[in-house]
Amino acid sequence: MTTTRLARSTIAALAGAIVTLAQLNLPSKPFWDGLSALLYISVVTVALFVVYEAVLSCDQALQVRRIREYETTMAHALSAAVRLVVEEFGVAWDQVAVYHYQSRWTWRGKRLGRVTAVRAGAPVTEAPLRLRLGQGVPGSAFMTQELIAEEWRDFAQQAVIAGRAAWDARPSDQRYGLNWGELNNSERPEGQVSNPQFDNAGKPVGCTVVSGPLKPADLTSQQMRRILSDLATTMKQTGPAPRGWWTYCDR
Amino acid sequence: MTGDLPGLRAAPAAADGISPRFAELLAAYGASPAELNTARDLTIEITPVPSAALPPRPRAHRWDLARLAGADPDVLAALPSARFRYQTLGGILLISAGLTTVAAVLAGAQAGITPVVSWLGGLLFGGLVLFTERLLVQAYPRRARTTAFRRSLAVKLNVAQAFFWAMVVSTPINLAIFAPQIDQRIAGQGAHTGLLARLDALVMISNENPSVRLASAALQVLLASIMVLPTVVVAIQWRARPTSYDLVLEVKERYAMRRAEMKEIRQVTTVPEPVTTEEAAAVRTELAEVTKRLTTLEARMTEENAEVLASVIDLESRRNRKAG
Repeated sequence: MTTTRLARSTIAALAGAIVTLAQLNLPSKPFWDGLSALLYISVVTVALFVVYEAVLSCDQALQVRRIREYETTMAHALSAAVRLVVEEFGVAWDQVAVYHYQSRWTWRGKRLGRVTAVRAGAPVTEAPLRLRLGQGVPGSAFMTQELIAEEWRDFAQQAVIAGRAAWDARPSDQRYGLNWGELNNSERPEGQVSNPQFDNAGKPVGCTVVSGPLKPADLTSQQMRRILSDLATTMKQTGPAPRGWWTYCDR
Repeated sequence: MTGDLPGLRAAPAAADGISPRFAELLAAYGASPAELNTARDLTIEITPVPSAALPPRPRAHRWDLARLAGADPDVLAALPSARFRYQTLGGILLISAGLTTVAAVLAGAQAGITPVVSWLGGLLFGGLVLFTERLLVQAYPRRARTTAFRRSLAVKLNVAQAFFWAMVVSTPINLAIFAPQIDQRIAGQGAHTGLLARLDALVMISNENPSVRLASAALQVLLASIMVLPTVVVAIQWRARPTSYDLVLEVKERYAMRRAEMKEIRQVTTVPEPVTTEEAAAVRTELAEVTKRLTTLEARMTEENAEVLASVIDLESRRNRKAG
């Protein structure tokens, strides 16, 4: 998103510079006489940029209440899930994190975007903001439309010990679609479980992840399924992220 | 579940409603009235999960070697590594007592006592040794208030006892080992064949033959080593830093003492019925207040006790995880 914004700003700055220089007859009037097409394009670009920014700002101003409501609803649901995990499994409360991802379109195609994440009331920064479909446990759960539980720390440690060649030799679905660098940079909670979410038509629209010092018996227990069902119901009721949400997150 | 792919895979958890507890928590975290209404509308009754579907809970082993070593099975249920340690100690105590039993049976046989009586006597003797050693092993509490002098005294007593029992136990075994030589000597002298005569013959053979003396001494040292083994094991544990088991036990005992004190206070504060005068009624009100405060205090103590125990167990599991 930063690259897109930078490119947009560069184009706008170039167009603005062209229009300004032409108005000032710099370097000379004859220089611009043969470039009327470029001038028209620049003027239109500048106008579009101004309108785009204005519309975006107005839209955000109009949507801000919905965005804030959505944000607090997510925070309530994820905090309640963290508390339930702590109550059910007796794990340290500051080591449990709950994430919610939704599918979204970006200029590079469809991705899972992190809507929000909660751990001990502090923002979670380690989890990736965007995931390719099939990338990581959440991406795999989304793609296969299955609940996936993984002892992630053991899995990652064993893979790192086995080395890069062994990792690269694995089929993509056996390495959760991660390349060597992504594996090494991944956060390593003891266990994580990812549950895909569906819309009313049964189409996958996102997934929820619970991670923390959780054993396989915890990850696959009925209690964990209940917590994931609670989250799934809440997310389904809340619906997709409101318009302007991703811009708000990316800013 | 899919075989080749990594992780445990199952059907997704369905968006089939909200549990009452989740709805409660949403309210606790400040959800808006609209959110709460939606949550209430979607709240479902949770049927208890059948116990077979739940992961197995650690079960207290009521009759095992750890209990024989004097450990609390309820505490050990949550601390598997400590259970293994106490089971080993219990095994050593059992071996030591078993050896004593065998020696006593042999002694009975040497003395010409019937096998049934020998076995009964042997078992009684073995039981006596077992409980004495158990008592001495339990005299090594690893608590701050136990002085080094007390610990040292317990060690010395146990070592002295081990050597004493080794001397007692080794004699009938020696009699059995050197039976042919003893029989030969008794036959040659034409003396009585009772236990005393056999003991005299054994002493004489030992005096005449240094190898027999050495073998007897070696047997005695071996038996003493086996009997002193529980003490050595406990002393080694005592030298190490206190384990979670020790901490949990310490906490339990402290709270048990406080509870006993509070129970005593409660009994003292009870006023015999009936109370009729105004002054007595005022006293009674005050006492009721005290009783109420005591109840609150007891509840808080129980809660704190549970929290401390949970913290210690959590500490142990983290320690194990790090060690792993």
